[in-house]
Amino acid sequence: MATVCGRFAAMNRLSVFARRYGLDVLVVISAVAAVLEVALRDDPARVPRTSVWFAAPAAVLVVLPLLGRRRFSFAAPVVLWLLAALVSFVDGRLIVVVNSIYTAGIIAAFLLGNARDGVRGRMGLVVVVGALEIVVYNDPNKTPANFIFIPLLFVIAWLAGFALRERAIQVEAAEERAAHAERERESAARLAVAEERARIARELHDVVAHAVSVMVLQVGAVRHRLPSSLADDRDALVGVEQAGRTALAEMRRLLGAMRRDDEDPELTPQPGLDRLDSLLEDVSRAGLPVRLHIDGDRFPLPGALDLSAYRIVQEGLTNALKHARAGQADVTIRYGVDEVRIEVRDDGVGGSADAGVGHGLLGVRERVKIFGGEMTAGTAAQGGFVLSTRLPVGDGR
Amino acid sequence: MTIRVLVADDQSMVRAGFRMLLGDEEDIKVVAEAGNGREAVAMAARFDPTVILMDIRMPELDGLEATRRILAADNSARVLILTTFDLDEYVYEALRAGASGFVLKDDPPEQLIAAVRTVAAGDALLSPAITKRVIKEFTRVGRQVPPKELDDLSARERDVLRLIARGLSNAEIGQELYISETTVKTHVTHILQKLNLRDRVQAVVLAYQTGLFEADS
Repeated sequence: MATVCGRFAAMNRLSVFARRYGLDVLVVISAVAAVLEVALRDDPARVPRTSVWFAAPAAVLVVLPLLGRRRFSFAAPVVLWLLAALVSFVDGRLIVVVNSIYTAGIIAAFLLGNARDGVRGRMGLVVVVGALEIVVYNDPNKTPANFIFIPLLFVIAWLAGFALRERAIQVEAAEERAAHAERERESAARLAVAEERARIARELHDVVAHAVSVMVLQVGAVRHRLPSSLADDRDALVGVEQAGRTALAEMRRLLGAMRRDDEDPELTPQPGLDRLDSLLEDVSRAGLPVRLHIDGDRFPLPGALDLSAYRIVQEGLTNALKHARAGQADVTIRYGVDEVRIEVRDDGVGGSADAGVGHGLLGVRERVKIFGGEMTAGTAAQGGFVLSTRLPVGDGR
Repeated sequence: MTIRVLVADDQSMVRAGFRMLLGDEEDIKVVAEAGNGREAVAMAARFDPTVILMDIRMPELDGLEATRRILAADNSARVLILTTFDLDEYVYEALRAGASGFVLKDDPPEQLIAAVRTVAAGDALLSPAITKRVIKEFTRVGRQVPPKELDDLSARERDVLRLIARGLSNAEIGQELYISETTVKTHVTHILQKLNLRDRVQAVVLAYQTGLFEADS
């Protein structure tokens, strides 16, 4: 079994290699073949005029420019033809009799026809035809018909390249679109993360602002009832009030700037785990019945943590509603020493175990990160999907 | 005359803070507390307080809706809105709901106590900073057709109304028009009666909604 797979993999690699370097291999083979032709052929009708010491290297030189076609997609084939024309001045028969040069020439003509830039393509055609006329002219064995029919063959090669150009352009465009779409997706993902973070920041600022507000109120109340004999104490408390008000002013400014234009001002306080019942009711009414399980000794969580715990359950259930096509969901809150574990489980189609990379659980991931907790999300052992989080509860319970 | 207060806020510490603050005042007594809007409406009906301190953001029923319901049941109820955020929308909606005033929870205790007394006395209250913004908001909102009762106002009464619209107190109006504060109060009462308004804040609202008086600045 392993060897079959191994062979399959090997064949796959071979085909990839062939696609990328096949033409280069052909060019090298042609060059070698050119040398052999020059050196070994002894048919007097088809022998170059110059000695093998010139003819062989010249033949190779004419063919090799094709290897540069990737970087110089226009210049390489053009150089090939220019070289061919030049060499024909020195040895009129060489270009005509060596078959490998013919092959290389056809390929060059095809490549020029395939040129993306139509202007260059047409220039290439001129070069090909011009060079060929020179080669034919320099051939001592030429006939008048050669002037027409030999270039014709290469023009056909050029036309073939030209015809396939359309398709090549389309393929390139499709690749560009795919790359563009990928960039857009990444950009949208980054934006979603940023927006989610901004939302979390707004909520946390809200929680903090309310806490500070209460602090200022209480301190003010105490300060107000202090007798004037305790002037120092009063002054100290006034200082606290000022500091608190300044902090609140800053937070109001920040929240004012962070508020999205389409948001209405909040009429309800930031929720916490004590509002789970109404959330679960809403979700059940929307079509997904939910059961709530509470383990361990319940204790009140600090404001921001409480809010995040609520949001985690909310996002988990929204995700299940939207994607899971589930029949039943279970929410488990497990209170431990210095931590709280939240699990949202459904019996629907599982998702990929990507730890919440999809937008649906993005907020959960961000919130867990803020509180230094952990999260996993993926298909459960018995089927369905499970979102599992752990939030450490810091000191000051 | 004791001012009887109902404190409605979902945070127990806020309620405790106000209990402490108002409890020290001789003429003020906290008679009831509520933790959400629904309780607030029930308590208001049961205890008929002089002033209701109402937080906006509460679970089950928010403070704005609770204010509307309390006023629907008892038009003379006086509600002082409490909030952490002085968002324009809050203020505007609170006044439209019929609240008599708007204070921030972190306002200095002296101001909070004075606000309770002002509202209890029937004078509506907006802190100066908020008044300007409220006026701006009202001029932004669409103009309404002035009620024909405005024509019933005497020239003097129109003067007083114009100055009320600029947020001046009775004493300040008296100084502007060279009349006694008592006279100003009488004019104000007449204005409110003729235009069928609850308090001077409603008068400000009307003035700007009908575009009678442009806000300065």
